[in-house]
Amino acid sequence: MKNRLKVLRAERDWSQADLARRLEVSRQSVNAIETGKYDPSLPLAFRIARLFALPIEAIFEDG
Amino acid sequence: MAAGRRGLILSLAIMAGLMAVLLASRGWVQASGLWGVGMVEVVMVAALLASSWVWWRGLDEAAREAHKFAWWWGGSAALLVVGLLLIFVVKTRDVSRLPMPDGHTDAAAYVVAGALGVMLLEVVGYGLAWLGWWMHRR
Repeated sequence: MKNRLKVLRAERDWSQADLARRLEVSRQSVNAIETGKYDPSLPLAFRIARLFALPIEAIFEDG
Repeated sequence: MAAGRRGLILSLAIMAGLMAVLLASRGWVQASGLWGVGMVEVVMVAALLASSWVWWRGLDEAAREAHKFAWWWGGSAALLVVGLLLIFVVKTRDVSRLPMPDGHTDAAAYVVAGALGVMLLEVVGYGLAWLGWWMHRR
């Protein structure tokens, strides 16, 4: 699944570690999600959406 | 998991170890007797379960996913190897080829060697699968 996590993070000048701390996950998890190699669960996707104040479909896209 | 909680678990484990040494040195617990070994094992299992529970709750979902993957694929692959070894031993009835620690060849030694062999293969399979999951997602 593709996502805009890296772009959104860069816009806020956050490192992967910063984002990981805000989401209460490991930096490795953030990296895996950003590279599209790990799809987050629905609860984590909602946490990400809330953090960036965006709807889920504005961050993740199917395919 | 918070560093404080990890420290607490480590401190409790060290205290439990020191307590076991103290009890054994005073002769209150026979480390080689059935009850002594049983008591130590019960404490070990309880401590392991409690610390594993705390550790598991501290993992994020990707880390948990890696462990689930390792448990299924690594554990199953290791069981496959164990099964092959079992077929080999059952069909040939030849255990002389198996490496035995300290040259012991009594029944208990074979049971211990078999159990340790299964544990070792499980750990290796689990570790490789866990490593593979994370390497693939770097």
